[in-house]
Parts: sequence; structure tokens; C-alpha cells
Amino acid sequence: MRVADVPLEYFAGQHVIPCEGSVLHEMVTGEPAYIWIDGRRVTIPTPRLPVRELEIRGTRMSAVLIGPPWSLFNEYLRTPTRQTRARIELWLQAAMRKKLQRADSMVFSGVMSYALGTPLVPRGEVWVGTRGLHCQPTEDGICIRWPIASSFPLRCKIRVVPERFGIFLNDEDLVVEKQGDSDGDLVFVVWLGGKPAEKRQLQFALDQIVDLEFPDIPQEIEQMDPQSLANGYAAKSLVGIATWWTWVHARFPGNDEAWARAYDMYTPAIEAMMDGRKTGAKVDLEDFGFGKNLPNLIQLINMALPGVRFMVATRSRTPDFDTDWRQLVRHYWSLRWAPEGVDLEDSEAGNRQEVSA
Amino acid sequence: MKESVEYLKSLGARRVFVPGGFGFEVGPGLGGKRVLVASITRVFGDSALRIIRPAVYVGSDGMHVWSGLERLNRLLAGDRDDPMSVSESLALFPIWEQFKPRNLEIQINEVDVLPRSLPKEYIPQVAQRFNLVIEWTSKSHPLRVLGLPTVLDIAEAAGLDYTQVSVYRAFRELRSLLKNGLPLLEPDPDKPYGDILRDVVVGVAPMKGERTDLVYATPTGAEKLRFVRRFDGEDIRMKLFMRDAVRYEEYEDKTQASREAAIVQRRVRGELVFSPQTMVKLVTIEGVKGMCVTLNDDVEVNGEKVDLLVDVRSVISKGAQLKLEGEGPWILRTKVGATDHGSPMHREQSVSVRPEAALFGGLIDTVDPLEHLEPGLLEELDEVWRMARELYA
Repeated sequence: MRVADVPLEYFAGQHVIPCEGSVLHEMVTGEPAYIWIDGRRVTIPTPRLPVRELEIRGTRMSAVLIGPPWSLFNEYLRTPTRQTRARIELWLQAAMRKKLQRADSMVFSGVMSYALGTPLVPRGEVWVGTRGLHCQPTEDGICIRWPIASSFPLRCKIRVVPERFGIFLNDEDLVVEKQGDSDGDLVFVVWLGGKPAEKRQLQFALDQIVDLEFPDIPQEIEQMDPQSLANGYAAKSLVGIATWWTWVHARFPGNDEAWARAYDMYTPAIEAMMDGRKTGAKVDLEDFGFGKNLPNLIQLINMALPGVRFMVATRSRTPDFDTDWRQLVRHYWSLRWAPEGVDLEDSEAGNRQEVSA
Repeated sequence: MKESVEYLKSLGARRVFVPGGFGFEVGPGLGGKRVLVASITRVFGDSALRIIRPAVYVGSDGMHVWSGLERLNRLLAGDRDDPMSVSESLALFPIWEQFKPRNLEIQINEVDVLPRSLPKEYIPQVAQRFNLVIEWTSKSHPLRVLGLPTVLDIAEAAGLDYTQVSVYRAFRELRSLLKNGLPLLEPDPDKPYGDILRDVVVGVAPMKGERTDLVYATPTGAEKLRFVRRFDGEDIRMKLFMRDAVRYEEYEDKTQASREAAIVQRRVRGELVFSPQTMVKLVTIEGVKGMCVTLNDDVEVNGEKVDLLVDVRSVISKGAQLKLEGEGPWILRTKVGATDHGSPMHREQSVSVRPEAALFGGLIDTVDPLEHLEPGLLEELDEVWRMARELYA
């Protein structure tokens, strides 16, 4: 199949082809196209046809943005020189790095909304109010409170309540397991699969919510002096630092248990901070083990950079195309990966070679 | 803009010279150093009015007070030795981007404390030196901002008896409520803060299960507590919420991207009603707060019809139990408002999780990352790897 030379419009740094009557439009929806470069047959990636409503020379029309690499291949067809080939190679190397960087996050279908804790929802279930939402949740999922600090994820059965907003979950699941409440806490629910979530009705009636045991209420108001208040706020401001330290510990010394040990340090530290906010007590992260038994700390500083971005972008080279990119990504997500240049124990050397293979 | 300027004048604003823009000094200020409300396109990139509060700067040579105008001038002078960053110098949030009627009025009674890196333990000394109210602070960034003594008048006017509640909780919540309070659909102009606060009778009783702070509205209460939120967004997203809109208009937004081409987007703007039927976050002036859902029937407590029903533990946890009437079930007479919780923004979303979150969220080792990468990324990665092999092999 030959790549036709068609007139292109130029728009916001990309080539644009009006869809109507375009030769290319038909071609790109058909069989794969290829091009000969220095005697090699290189398959041209199929564009995903991003169609936009554009106004071109005063006429509003649907047009498809083709952008690189189509425009690069078009250029090579016109003038097959060393420079045009070099441009394709440069684009390809950049694309490998960029696309791998995008693998530094997992994407789930889900919804984020406000937690509404009530005994009317059975334990282990999460009822998603779907009013105003276009979504088809499935039955199996995970519910995580945001921010994640000091919370435990709930493997849950998802149900939907079509006429309501918000995310309803059992009061004990919310308060005890997740240490949350219903004063504006956010939770996100992601669905992982299974049958479509069943529908439920939710009506609140007085006898279902009120307890007839009336307690004695305290007759004093607890006040806090300004210094305790400030110390409490100072304790809470450590949450970000504790989270960063946990990440560092999870990455070092780079074995399977590191992340579990880091998580074990994190949970009590966050709980102490939350208590400190109310009692005014100061929190020392070292008491929880943060910053201890780590290798050269200078090399850890750059680790605040997230994800594969660090793994790939800070390396001056493009990953070897002989390496399976799936292996790179899985290794990164296993939290066994450690950055280059750090002396690991002999037992971790195998892991490191696996990454840079 | 004209409306905003008129509003500023009603607050006693005085016009001041601002290089490359225009501005007003307003508010009581700290020792004569007042808030600046200014529009300066060269600094902010657009012409929206922004607020720059006065600041106490704690340096190695002692504490200094700068007015909003002085902070701006320091920034424009571009003193390279000045250790402050732009974000520390200025409050960058534009005001009036949403309609929160009391937002500016609250902020002109506040002072920033700089630098941000100042350990929080020292802030009580700053408050004591300048007679600032330390409990009147930001919820999300505590002790970054403190109240001028005039905030006590605000609290009183709003109806809070701050001798009967724990102030450190109540002031923080009251500030948030007044600053971010949404306007009522049916305001009461004769009452102080009657545009955002409504008098209610709250029934207080112990609730079954754990204390979740959920607030229940009776049909009567739900009718009284309807608030308005402005919105502006793509019509495809907003259409789902149109049945809760009081009014809206559709329009076309045309962005001229180049000389020959423009992107046209269909948008809609208007006002949504937030009520217990649609879910709303309610806050009383004492700081008793929670997401609100509706009850089926009206409720009477001690022979009196109530608007809301809350858990007694929610009242005690906020230190407001001295305001309860009766022996149980109790009555709490108070004022209530709503803060924005962004429900029109709720939608199905792609939740993006990085390894740190996977660790904390318990997803690590339970799901395969390759199954949950960005849609289409697997094919794209395969494609570039294949192309590389074809080109270099």
C-alpha cells in the first residue's frame, strides 16, 4: 500500500486533514500502511483519528488531526534523505521514553464522591449513588478513602442507587476501617469486574437511625491553649513528609518486604499525627523508624520524583528496544526497582540487572 | 467588573495607584497596613481582581508588617535577594470566579504569616505580638492565615456565642462557612448574613451505629435549605445536572487558535440548586457539620417541629453541648449554611493510581499493572517498540 501525498492544513503545530472527501481518511481506516526506509519496510502506526470541529478558512468542518509521525513519513516520501530518516529516529526514541513514562500510573474506571456512612448499608458493600452519572459499575471493586493516609482499602461488593448522589457505605466500614466520617470525606470506588452492579433503594426513616438510649452529656467545654494548637498543626503538617519517607523506605533496600515494612511504619505515624492535631502533642518521625537504616541519603534526594519518569527520563539513554517493555513496567510496579548508581546489597544485584537488561 | 468595584466601594475601599493596573485598599488592616484588591494583567496574566492580604514577615531581623500594596511592590521591584517566592508574596486565587457572597468580606479581616517555612510552633508568638486571633485560621493550611481582632465582631454578628463552644474548632469552621458559603435560594435580607445563613431548629438524638456525622433533613428543613451554585462547563458534562438547575443558558465558545482555524466548543452556564435532595454539605455556626440526606417524614422533638436531625455525638465532638436545650432528645437553635462540595463535578472518572498510592491502597501485588494502564497505551507501546525493531534490526 502506498502512502498518498495529500494536501495538509497546519493547525496548532499539527497537520490536519479535513475528513470530508479525503483520500487519506479512507486509507487510514483500511489496511495497515507501510513505507520503505533504506530498504527496510517500516509499518506506519495507525492514527487514532482524533476528529475535531474546526473552523478552517471561515468554514466549520470535521477534520482529523494526523500530526507526527504521519507528517514525518509524508516528509520522508517526498524527500528520502538522511536528515528525514534521522527525524523519524529521533521521534521514535522520544516516543519510547514518553510512552513508557505514561506507564507510571494505573488507570481504573471508577467514581469519586462523598462518603455517607450509614448502618442501612451492609458491611462490605458500597452503594454508589448514580444520579448525574453515566457509568456502569460492576459488582467487584475496591473502595479507598481519600486522602489514603491511615485508611484501609475495602474490597467491596458494589451496588447502585439510581436516585441519589454520593457513595453510601456501612458506618463501621467508614469509621473503624477507614477512620473517616461523613462530613465531606472523599472516597473513590473503582470497579475491577464481575456482573453488573445490582440496583438498590435507600430510604431513611426515623426508627432506623435513632437509638433510644440517651446518654449523659459532658457539661464542660474542652479548650486548647494556642501553643498546643500550634504544636498540633505542626504535627499534622508532617503528613506529606511521612508519605515521602514511606515511599523512600518502600524503594530501599529494594527487596520484597521493604514496602510492607514501610507501610507498618506509616500507619502508626499518621495516627499519632491525627491524635496530635487534637491533643497538641508533637510527633517525631524518627520515633517511628523513618530515616533509619537507609543507604547513602544524598542519593535518595532525587527519588522524590515520581514513577517511571525517574526510571527512564533521568537516564540519558532510551531503553533498549530488545528489552520487553512489559518487564520494565512490571518490575517498576513491584516496588523492587531501585535507581541506578545506588550500591545495593549483593542479594539485590539480580534485581538490578533485570531492570537494566 | 463594574459590579465588583461598586461592591468594593460599599466596603469602604480606597483607590490606590498600582503600576500596570488598578487597585483598592480595603479592610481594617493591621496597624494601617490594609488588604489590596487589584487587577494587574502583567502579573496575573488576566484582568480578574485578586486579593493580596497584608502579611507579617518573620525574618532574621525581627517581624515586619507589609500591606498588600507593599507586597505587590516588592514583587514588581524584582529584588533578587528577596527570599520570598511569587506564591508567598501574593494570594493568587482570583476572587468572584464563583459566587460566594461573603468571600471578600472575610478575607479583608485576615493577615498572612510568612515565610511559609516558619515552624508552626513560633506562630503563637506572632499572634501575641500583633494581637491576632490564632484560632481564626485556614482549615486546609492551618496557621498560614490569622484573623484580625475584627473577626470577633464577625463571629458575634453571625450569631456565634464563642463563650459556649470550643473556639479553636468553631472559628476554623465558621471562617470556612462564611468565606465559602453558598448563597441561599431564598435569602433573608433582614438578618445578619441572611444571604448565606438560615435559622434552623435542630433535633439532637443519639444515633445507631458509629458516629458518621451524617445530617438528616426533614421535608420542612429540606425546603428551607436550598442553596445556589453557579456553574460553567461543557454541555456534554453539564447536561446530566440540568434537572437541578434554576436557570441556564447555552453558548458557543470560540477560541481562535491560529489565523485560519478556530476551535468551537458548546458550553452551558447557569445556577444549580444544592439541597438535601441533591446532597449538600451543611455547617452550623458552631462547626457541627456533615453531608445531608433527606428523611421521609417530618419529625417533632419535645413537641417542636425540627428542620434537621443530628447525632448528639457530633455536637459533643465539636464542643457545642452547652447550647443544647432539654434532657434528651435535645433541641439546638442555630444558623446553618452550606459550603461547596462540587457535586456537579462528580462523574465517572478514570482514577489514576501511582505506585505510592497502590502501596497505601493495598493494590500492590493484587492487580497486574499491565491490565490497568491508560487505555490504548499497551498498543501504543507495542507499536513504538515494533517500529524500533523494524527500523534498527
